[in-house]
Amino acid sequence: MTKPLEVPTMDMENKEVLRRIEITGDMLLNMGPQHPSTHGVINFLVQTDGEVMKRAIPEVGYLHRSIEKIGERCTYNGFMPYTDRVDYIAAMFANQGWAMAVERLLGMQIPKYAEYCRIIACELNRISSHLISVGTMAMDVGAVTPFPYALREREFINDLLEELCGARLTYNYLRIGGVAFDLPSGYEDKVQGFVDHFEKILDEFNRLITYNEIFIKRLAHLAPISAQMAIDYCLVGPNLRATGYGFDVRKALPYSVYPEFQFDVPVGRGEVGTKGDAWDRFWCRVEEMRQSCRILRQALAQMPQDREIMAKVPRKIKIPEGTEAYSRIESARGDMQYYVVAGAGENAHRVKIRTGSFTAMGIIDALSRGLMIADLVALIASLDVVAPEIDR
Amino acid sequence: MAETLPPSQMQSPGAFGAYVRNVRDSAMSFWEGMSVTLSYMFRKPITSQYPDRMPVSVNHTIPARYRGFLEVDMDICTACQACERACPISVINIDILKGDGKTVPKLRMERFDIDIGKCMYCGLCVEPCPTGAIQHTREFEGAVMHFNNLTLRFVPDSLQPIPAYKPPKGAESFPRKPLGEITRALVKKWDEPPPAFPSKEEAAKADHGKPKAGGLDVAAMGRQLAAKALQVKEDKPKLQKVIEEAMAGTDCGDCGYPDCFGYSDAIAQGKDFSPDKCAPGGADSKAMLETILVSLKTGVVPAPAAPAPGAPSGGSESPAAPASAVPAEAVHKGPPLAQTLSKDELYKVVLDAMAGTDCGDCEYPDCDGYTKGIVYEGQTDLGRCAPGGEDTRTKLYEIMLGTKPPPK
Amino acid sequence: MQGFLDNLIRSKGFDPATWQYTQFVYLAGMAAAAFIVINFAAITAGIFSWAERRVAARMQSRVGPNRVGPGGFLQWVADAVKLLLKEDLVPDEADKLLFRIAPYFMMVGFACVFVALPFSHRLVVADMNIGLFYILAVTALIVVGIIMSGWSSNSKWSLFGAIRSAAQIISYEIPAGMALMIPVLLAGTMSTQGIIRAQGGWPWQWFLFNNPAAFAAFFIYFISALAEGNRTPFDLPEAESELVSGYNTEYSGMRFSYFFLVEWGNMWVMSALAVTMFLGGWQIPGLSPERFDALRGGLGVVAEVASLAVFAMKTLFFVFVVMWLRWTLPRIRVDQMMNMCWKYLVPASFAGVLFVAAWMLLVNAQPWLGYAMRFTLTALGAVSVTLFALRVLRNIHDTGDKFDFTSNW
Repeated sequence: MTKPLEVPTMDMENKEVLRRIEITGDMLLNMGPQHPSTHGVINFLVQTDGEVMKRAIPEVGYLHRSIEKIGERCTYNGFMPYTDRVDYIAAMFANQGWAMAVERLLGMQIPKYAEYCRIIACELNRISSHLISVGTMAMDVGAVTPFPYALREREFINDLLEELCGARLTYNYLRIGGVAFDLPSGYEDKVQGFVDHFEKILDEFNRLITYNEIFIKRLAHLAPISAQMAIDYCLVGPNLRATGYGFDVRKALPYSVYPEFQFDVPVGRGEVGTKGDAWDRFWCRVEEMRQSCRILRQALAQMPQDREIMAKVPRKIKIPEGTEAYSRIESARGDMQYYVVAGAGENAHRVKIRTGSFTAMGIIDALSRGLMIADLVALIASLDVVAPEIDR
Repeated sequence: MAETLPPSQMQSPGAFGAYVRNVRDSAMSFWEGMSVTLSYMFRKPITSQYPDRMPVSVNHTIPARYRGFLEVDMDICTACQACERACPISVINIDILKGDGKTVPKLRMERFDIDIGKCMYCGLCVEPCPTGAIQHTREFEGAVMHFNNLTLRFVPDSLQPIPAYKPPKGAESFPRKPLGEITRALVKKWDEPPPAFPSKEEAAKADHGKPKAGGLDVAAMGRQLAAKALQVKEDKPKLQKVIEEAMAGTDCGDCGYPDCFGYSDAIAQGKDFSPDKCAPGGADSKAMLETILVSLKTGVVPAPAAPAPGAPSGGSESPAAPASAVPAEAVHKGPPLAQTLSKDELYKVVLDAMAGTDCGDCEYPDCDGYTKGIVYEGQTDLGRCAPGGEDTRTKLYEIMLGTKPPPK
Repeated sequence: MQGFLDNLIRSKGFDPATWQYTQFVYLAGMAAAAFIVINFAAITAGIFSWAERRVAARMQSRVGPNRVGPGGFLQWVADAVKLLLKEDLVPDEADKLLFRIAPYFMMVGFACVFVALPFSHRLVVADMNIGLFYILAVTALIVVGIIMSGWSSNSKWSLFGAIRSAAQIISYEIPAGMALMIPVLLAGTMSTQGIIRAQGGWPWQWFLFNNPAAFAAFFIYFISALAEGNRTPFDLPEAESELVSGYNTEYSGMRFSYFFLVEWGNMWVMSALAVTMFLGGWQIPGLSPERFDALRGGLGVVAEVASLAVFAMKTLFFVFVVMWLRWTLPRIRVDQMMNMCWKYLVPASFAGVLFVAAWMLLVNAQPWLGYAMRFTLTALGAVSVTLFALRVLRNIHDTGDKFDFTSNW
């Protein structure tokens, strides 16, 4: 009689680690789940011999809130605030993914003006999300000052988005079929003013930290990821582009009105270290902020003036049971995908959200062999993981 | 891994050059970085010293659309419960008392509670409100001494229910108290101890949230209205008024028509046959409309059913009819509508039976095309409307052929 | 100080060499001096904690503590009182004796340095002729305290921090020592007062601008002192984002405050040493030490106070620079730090010593070379400071802000 197949589980993996540690005499440290530098509640089991690690196993699930299950209970519009909480730092993108998926279920087009409003909100959110990512990366490496600077710029964006939709973090701005509010009067000038101011701040930020010698020494040659490895581990977003593989959903599978804008996609070049190392990931994000400013300028110039913010959508959205739709957007953290199956009545039957941070967890173990603990912190920061996105 | 010079480079003559370059790069980057931080020391800090050293109270500086605590102006609330239905997490709880409109107002609110401790400030309740009674204010300072005080009770005394507001026809705006006044008044009481929880006996006797039929005999009223409807059957405007009495009268728009006039007019004109679209009216409204529709079709007011022993006085009473959208046998005794109505009227009925999404799944460009196909061009495949599904198929078979659809 | 006490005894009519109570007077003098020094050290450390928070805040576009006392000046008093009132925890598994006495080792190592620091022309507790040697020896006690605290906490994280810190401090003793040898060479004595007297008040008379190796030695010393004081960019042992505070994780209350007292007080110590060795200490520009010695009466007191002020100003400036560096630079990793010490600083400091020795012989033969070099270096220094200030002002204008130091205080 053959033994039943032993499916490896997380528990087994950890027990194996512990068993080996008893043999070798290494230290087993728990980094997290409450730790100043893991970005959210994530636990890392670190097996280390002194300063140099043998392996680091991430443990996720501390922030699981069953959002996908809740999607089966809410109406389509009612689920929109929940998508905010999937990734609360880049909430507009989560909103957009959901709106696009349900609009594909309904098979509807939304007015161009609404698309432009979405793009403006999303690109502003991309800048603010990258500001947090870049600021925390600097802080984890020890430079405390760039973080308040990044937050200060983010406050300007928060004020802009607060004026637009009423909230500073969980926006709930998009609706199925368009957006909730029109741009307030004078808003275009405010956004223009912010973009002008921000590009100067970016230059200052680069002078302060990006090209700082110690910062480069910490991050260059750290955990370089080759393009093939990134594809094998399903990395997305700036993590993937830093390795030299320039895949951006806005260019490869264009959606919304992105084809009408001209912008570059920053791809890692190994400017100060190896291609695909942590410094490249940092630099990619800084450059993406610059490109977002470019998109914002073009969007403000090219907007249609008809002020139609919503398409005609019935009050109760009922979709025939079993209809499926899939949407893919370029969120701040990469490729965010929504899969929705319509259910009987006004709810979905199944909602599945695929986020970039979840897959980034998988690569940490592979990259952390031979790193030091200080490097592990820098590595996690450079992958820009946010715990709510991992666990949903 | 760590950045170190590889051993091979240590012996090469370039090592000293690299050494000097390292020192020079460090010095230059430190120079730049330190000039930036020192420059910030001589700029005005951007933080505001809240709350005591602020030039203007923060509530006046945040934008108009800010989503703070919710506020309901009961003077213009129509008790349509659209906000309660729109909330994804059920923080709004409204208890309605129905009346007959003569001795007591038609709709009164006994309880309008919003739990702002649970609220996620998404704004989904503000959008469907027909009069703008519920709004987000700019209040956000909510530290309370007693957790239960986080439930804002907009009907202060449940023994004195507040009647619903009847908005004038065609009004574009509705008079409202200044935004935030009501919430601020409630917020001032936050540090008082909350009312005590009800004891076990009181809780057992309580009737949680079901709409009480205070003064409304649904069956009797339904028959009354049906009799009146038969009297004024030909006079469409009068018929419309009678039918509107059976609805909640809140003009919420949930039925798909802009207001109650639209829905009742559609029924009166014979364009709409579904009695269950009035969400605020609920089961009572559905029962009354069914009675009216039955009487219009059959020409007689249905007799009251013999009350079951101990049965409550409310409830639907169409004889032997399941509580379905269109009781098939009761309404359509006789030839199918396809043979009794004119082509134009038949078109309207068939169009209404479909989902109305213009999705194109039926292979026609839109619902109009499919309807025209069925009515004018003799399309016999009645099951093509995918969004409508089985519901539409049943209805179309009923309308065109007068029979049940064959099993798929 | 001994001379001062001897004069006091003589003025009472006794001969210090034969009087039976001489030793008691000395003891009383030492106790008084120790009391003053420890209080000064502790209060300075407390004030620096407030200053650091304000400086950090303004550099980060915030305000910092400003409610307790004028400008938040009494914040450190509030913090000290709070720490005193905290529960005194000793972990169950910890080595109780070592855990308790570790902070005191650090305090001793740190406080003893003040004995040899010359605060002004006559204010120095003990002007030993091996002053510098004594200072370097005594600061090594801090390492002992750190290792003891890390080990006795019985926590893996604390142990990490302690071992890192020990490696760091011990390694950086070497370049620090060698860099400090250069002023000793130039002055010909290890006594701190002597080294100051060999310099002058004007910038071109400082050892800093004496020759390029001395200039480099200043930076080598400063960097090594940062490393010894566990300040960023070398604050790996207490890296908050990695180790949750390193070797002082398990400490609470007053014991915890000792560690931070030592760290902030060390800022004063390292700055004071830098000022003493390289920047002319308390020397007032235009007043040579001989003329200073000859001053009497009111003018003497004024000059004394002036020299104290000069010393304090210079030291406070460097304390500000230490804080400024902390809030600008990221942290260096352990192996990179060791790399820098052994591969960059140690060879440079040795080379510097050799260069200075050769230079002194050269200048002996051709004195004009010495003057030329000093004036050139001073000019270069002034030019770079001006360029830096202009760069700072340009930063402000580039982003559209205005120069504004007084609002939102």
